[in-house]
Amino acid sequence: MDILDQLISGFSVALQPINLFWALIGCALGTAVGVLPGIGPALTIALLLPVTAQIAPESAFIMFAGILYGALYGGSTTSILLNTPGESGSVMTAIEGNLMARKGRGAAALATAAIGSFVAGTIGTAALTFLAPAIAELAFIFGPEDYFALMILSFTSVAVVMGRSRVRGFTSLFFGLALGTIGIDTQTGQARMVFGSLELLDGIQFTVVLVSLFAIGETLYVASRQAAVPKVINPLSGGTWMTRDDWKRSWKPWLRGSLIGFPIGSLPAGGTEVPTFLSYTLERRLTKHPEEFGKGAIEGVAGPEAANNAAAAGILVPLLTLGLPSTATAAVLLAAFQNYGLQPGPMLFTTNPTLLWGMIASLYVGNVILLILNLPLVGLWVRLLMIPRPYIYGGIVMFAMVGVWGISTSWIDLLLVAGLGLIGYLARVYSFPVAPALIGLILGPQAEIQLRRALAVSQGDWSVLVGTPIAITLLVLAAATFLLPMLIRRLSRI
Amino acid sequence: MVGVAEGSRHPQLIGTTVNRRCAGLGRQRFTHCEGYPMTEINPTVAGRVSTANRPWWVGLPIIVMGAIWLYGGGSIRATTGFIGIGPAAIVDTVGAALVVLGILLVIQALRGVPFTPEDEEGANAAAPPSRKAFCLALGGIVLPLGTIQWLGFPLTAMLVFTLVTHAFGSRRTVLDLAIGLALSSFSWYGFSKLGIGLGHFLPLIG
Amino acid sequence: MRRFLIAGGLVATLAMMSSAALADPAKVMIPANPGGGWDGAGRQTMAALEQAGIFTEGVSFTNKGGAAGTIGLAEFVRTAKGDDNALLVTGVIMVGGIISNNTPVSLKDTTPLARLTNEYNAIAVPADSPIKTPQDFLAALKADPGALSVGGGSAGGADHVMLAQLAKAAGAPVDKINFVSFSGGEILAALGGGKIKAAISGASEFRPFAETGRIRIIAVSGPNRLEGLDAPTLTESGIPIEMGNWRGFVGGPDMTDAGRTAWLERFEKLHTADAWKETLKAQGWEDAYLAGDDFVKFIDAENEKWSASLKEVGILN
Repeated sequence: MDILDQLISGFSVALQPINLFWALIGCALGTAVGVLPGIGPALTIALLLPVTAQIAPESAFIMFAGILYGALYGGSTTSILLNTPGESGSVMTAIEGNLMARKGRGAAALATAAIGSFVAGTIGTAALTFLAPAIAELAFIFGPEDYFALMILSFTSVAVVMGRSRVRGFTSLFFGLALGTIGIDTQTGQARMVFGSLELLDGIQFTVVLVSLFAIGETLYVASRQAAVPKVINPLSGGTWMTRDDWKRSWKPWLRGSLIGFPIGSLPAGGTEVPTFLSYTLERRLTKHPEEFGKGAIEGVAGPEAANNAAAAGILVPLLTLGLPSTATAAVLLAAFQNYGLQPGPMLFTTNPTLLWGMIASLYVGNVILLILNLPLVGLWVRLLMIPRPYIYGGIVMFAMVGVWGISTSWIDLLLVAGLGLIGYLARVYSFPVAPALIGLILGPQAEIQLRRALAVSQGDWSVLVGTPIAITLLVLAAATFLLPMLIRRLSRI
Repeated sequence: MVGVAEGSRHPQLIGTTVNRRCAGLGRQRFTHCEGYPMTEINPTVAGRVSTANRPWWVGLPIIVMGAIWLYGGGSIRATTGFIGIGPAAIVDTVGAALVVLGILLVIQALRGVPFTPEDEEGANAAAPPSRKAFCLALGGIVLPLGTIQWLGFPLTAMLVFTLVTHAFGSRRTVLDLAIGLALSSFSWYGFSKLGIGLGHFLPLIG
Repeated sequence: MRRFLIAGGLVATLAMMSSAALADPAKVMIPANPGGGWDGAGRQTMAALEQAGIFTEGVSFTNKGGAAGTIGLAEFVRTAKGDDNALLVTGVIMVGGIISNNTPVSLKDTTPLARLTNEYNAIAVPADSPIKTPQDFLAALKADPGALSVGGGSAGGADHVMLAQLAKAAGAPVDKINFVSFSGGEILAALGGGKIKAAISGASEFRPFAETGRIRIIAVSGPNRLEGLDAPTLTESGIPIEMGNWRGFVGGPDMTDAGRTAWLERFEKLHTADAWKETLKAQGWEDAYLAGDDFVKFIDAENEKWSASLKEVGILN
């Protein structure tokens, strides 16, 4: 029960009034940056580093933990209400969540997202507390071929997201993959598809594509079709709260999302996006209400939201136990530790238990704070939709511009926003899904790198791709996700 | 379809997918689509395919894009001593897949597969898209390209805000300009305090 | 409506005043996005200058990332003309980027001021690897360069170039080396898990993992051994290779002599200031102060070294 003692002493740090105050600041700040596209927890923490040099390390990390979790809560709000995700982990939430909001079920969607985030965040934190050293070993077991198989599993899952028009879904996916090939190839240093532009050498920023395809495309579409849209969506026409049925349909996706999110999040190349794709697929497969998917199914919100929060707890595993940063946010947190003269890793548990357990305890506290902050705010957030539409969309476009211009001050990025925004508009007019394009953009380069790494290490021997039990298992799962439904459909037709 | 399988380095990923799904595409019915989840607003006229609505040209830009990628893939130098597959492989794969998908889109459209979300057809018939509103909104998105470098972020964002609000039917120009300026100045100020420069307030005067 | 106007105007004036209030602030161009190495170098150095009371007129930062810093460099050369307080953060990555991207502007268009920090590379292997010394590494490289998969940062970067130099020193064909590019912490997991045979990266990245015994550092690429680390330098092992990730500052294109002297004095004062020593320690940077004409010569030498190496590894024709 050593861990429990440590945790209790951690709580005695995290629950000090001053630290509660910093946790609150962090949660509020995190929620705010989660709403803004392009400005994520990594950037926020990086910018706050010099400022926080003045406060005690415990307080600083407690605030950072709040930012990390808060950003995920904030990201889901705009996804659901406005169909404009602020973070890559919220893309899947937008699909069913926004449909629910349009049916007047926005409050229920926000509530299931918030409670799901709380449940998953708490499960993830508990797993971090008790299982971290064991889970961390996964980092050394997973090789490039295993990651490649994981990517293949994600891609085949995407086929489900595409709905019934596979051709248009694949067009969108390959459009995203094509955008992902732009820039310098890391493996050989060759420039690819940059059309002589220096600005494109680093590739197209994910934020630019996210903002353009969602926020800008949506704005153009709604502007041109106002007559077809009711003047004001009554955000509460579907009730203010989750019904009994909603609860019944949400709790399993929360748990499943947590189970998928935490281990994948704790892999050095796992990230928070892959679990959301997989969770959405899984929920769509397992639901008892398949007819509601594509029309606003609550499982499609509950699962991915839980998955991305559990994954966020997961990324702390390799960071705290090994000193291994797996995402941009983790890299910044590592820099923050080093700023205070601390080196995360196994030694930290013995050299600086107050700080470490204070931080872990603050993750529990932060989750509670976020739940308390977010649940009562659900009603308020939903009423945001009652702001006259011109100002909602004027604000969306302005904040999109802040996100794009603020990060890069690059004219080319603004040009890309205009061009991709127009494509996002056309995609809506001709009924192409846009989420696969983003999935292609996120996973394409990763899949390529892992494949080429695996082949480089094996010196060109393709059998390496099925060389480990993990890779074989994941590939079999991928084949099953893809082929089983087709087989069943074909068989049932006979 | 052979094109995909040949060009593809991940046959299990692409080849089978497209193959299987396309057999009966012409007759496939699209009851809904995630991409634009535009609601239950007017679910009256369900699934009537009008002959005028056959946007066969939708596939053309995809084919062109695929061709550009194929061309680009061909011009990537493969002189470095990489092991395994080179930097051009994925570019070629994606290019070939886009060409095939573009051709499939053209065929689908010509066969009369509906290219509008079913739920929306009724709404569309009742209210044609507003060209003026669209142009205003598009103007707001294109405007920064011309102005950001000499008007700076705050004024540009103010104009963008006003154009977009007008696209959505607002007629109170002065009020919108004021709100726009307040919002943009606030963002500009807040961000420079955080240490992110959004450029000079008014680049013209430095 | 009028009230809104007034409010808007007020905010605008406030914002303008706050930027005009600073006397003659330094304008620092950071040629990378916020949060990276150059960003830290720029912000921490300016903070140390302020803390030590050497330059207290205030600073404004502009981040302009992309293409190994060359986009920021081009923007800097365009906008910083005749401004004695305009500074650009630079480093070894930019030198390589200018060559491999063949950019129209180069560091010759700026006024080099000082190199401040350096971080030397190290070669590490999995703990159970048969490779124990730098000579073992060279022997393995010579025996079958393709079979020795070596991880590192991006292709054409310092790690890649260092491997090419090692191959050359070993007498192995440089175009046959098996360099596997990684980003972030993945390289440590891959090395610790034995997925790659060796890795070249910043010494400070490897150290925590070496201390827990998951990997072994077999050599460092600086002129001296690192404190508390039992690994030889390449030079003392008879391999004359030095490779590090240095960072420094340059001034605008037509910086006046007065401006140049003023900044050189400031950096010299900084070099001896306690605030700077604390910054170096906190950030894990090594002091690599080299200023004025020596820095200009150093940049020229780096240019030559990189042009040759990038050709050898096949990034350049």
